[in-house]
Amino acid sequence: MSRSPNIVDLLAEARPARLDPPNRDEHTARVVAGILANASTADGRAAADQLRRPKRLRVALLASVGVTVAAVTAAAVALALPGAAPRKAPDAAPAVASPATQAPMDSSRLLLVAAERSDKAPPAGGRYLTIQTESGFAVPVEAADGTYTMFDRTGGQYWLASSSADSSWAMSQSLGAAPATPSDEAAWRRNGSPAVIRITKPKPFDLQTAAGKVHGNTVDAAHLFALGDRNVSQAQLDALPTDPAALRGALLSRYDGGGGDMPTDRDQWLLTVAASVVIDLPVSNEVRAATYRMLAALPGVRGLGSVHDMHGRPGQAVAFTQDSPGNGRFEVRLIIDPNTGQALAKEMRVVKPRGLWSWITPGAMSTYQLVLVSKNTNENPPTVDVKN
Amino acid sequence: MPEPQPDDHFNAVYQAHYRQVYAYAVTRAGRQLADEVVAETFLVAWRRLPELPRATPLPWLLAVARNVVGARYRAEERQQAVAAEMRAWITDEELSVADVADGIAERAAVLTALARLSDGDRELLTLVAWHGLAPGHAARVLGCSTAAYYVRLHRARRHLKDAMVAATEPELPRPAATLVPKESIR
Repeated sequence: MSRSPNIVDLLAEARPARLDPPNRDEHTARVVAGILANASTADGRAAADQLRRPKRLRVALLASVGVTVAAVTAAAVALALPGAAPRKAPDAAPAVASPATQAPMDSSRLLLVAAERSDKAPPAGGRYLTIQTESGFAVPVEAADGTYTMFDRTGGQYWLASSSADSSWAMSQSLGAAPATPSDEAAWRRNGSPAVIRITKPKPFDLQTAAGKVHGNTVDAAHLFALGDRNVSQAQLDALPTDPAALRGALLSRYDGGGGDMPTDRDQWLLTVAASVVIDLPVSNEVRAATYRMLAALPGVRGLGSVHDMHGRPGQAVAFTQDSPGNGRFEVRLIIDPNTGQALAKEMRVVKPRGLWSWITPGAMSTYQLVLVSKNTNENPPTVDVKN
Repeated sequence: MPEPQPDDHFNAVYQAHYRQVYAYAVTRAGRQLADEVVAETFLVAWRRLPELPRATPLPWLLAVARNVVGARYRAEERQQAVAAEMRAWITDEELSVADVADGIAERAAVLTALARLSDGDRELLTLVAWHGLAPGHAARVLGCSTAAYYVRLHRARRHLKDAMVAATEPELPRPAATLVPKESIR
């Protein structure tokens, strides 16, 4: 039949009104409430764990995801917080940081050494690049004698296949909650060392100290990574310049104004993205080296000297300030192993608490991220307990 | 208590796309089940947020919705729900609420024709016409290559045209299938 030049246009015009949801606002509120209500069930718990997982490949999500989940958890305790005794941060506020056991290495020098080591790191090879992480997310626990802090910990693994014959996987597992500091541990023990900590307001939520099941899915690595808030493919990561000045230009060409959990300030945005390149993204040794060299030349990077990460691994730290509209002001600390050039950890400490983190004592750590393994391998990915 | 942040990624994705996921759910499972499908889809999205393509989440969401529909309902149950849904589309009441006052007969004809197509043809055509998916994205929802998608779309369009002939010329009640030339699959 030739009456209609384009049958698809005709069909488009006949779109039934029944395809539109009945009442936008009410509908939205109801469905979102339904989804968040699942946070109190065992299944929702796993969902929350996954949300809080390291976000290695999507750093930009970390804080905004925290908003979703911690709206349930942190907000609960924030209600009860005024009057609660502020806790002592274990390893000090940013301003007085560096429990230096040796002289702090100048930040530029450290970064240049890290760059050199990166250049000498073994090249890629093997069936998979596997990146294994642990992340922690501070949760305030309301107890009879005050509020203490637990880190809700999540293990994450990425297995990125080098050949299309293999599938890439993302896995995560709740590692259980653990007290943030020795004084938090004392508070937790005073309260009977509970294995399940019931948080009651505003939504019931169970914080577990036991590890959970391993959740995993095959993933499409082409759509997994982000630089800032925008997707980046592996091919684009591979094409990043290995010259520091050119790299700076390439990264800044992706600057989109920031916002949300990303800084809106262009220089801060670049620092945040650079940190994510070295700790979150599967880049070549050469790109990592160029990123360190670029960081060494940028203003706003401070050397903190020798530190230990949350697993007690020694390293040298650099830090910079990050302001974001959504989360307030943070000190971002990048811990680097100067022997290998590998980034070991990224830690966030709240400087000016805001929104989600308004409960936390300035100087305390809000989240951390550890890279436990980052290597090329011919091993097979482990099996998972639950495929979503 | 802090207000939920406006930049909350999950909420942003939900706000941006729930209407489209709802519309897709209506075409795949009927309006009665659409809320369930939408809620389940976004629960999966919430669990798997790190996998969600940040730049273009819709194809991913619809692929999840598609799996949700497949896993959650028996085939028979779904077909009945969709059949009832499509009957509702061509009632006078529904046809007259559309923005365009004229062309009611034509809209009825194309919707009637759509109802006569195979489930696969219908899904393909509505992904493009109603859910606004670009070819590559529609192919991703369907889990086929873009090339295969074009072949299938071409055929589905012909099927729809032929079904419309049958629908608008009831005095020639030839089965739609006899009007469709056999096509080779490239």
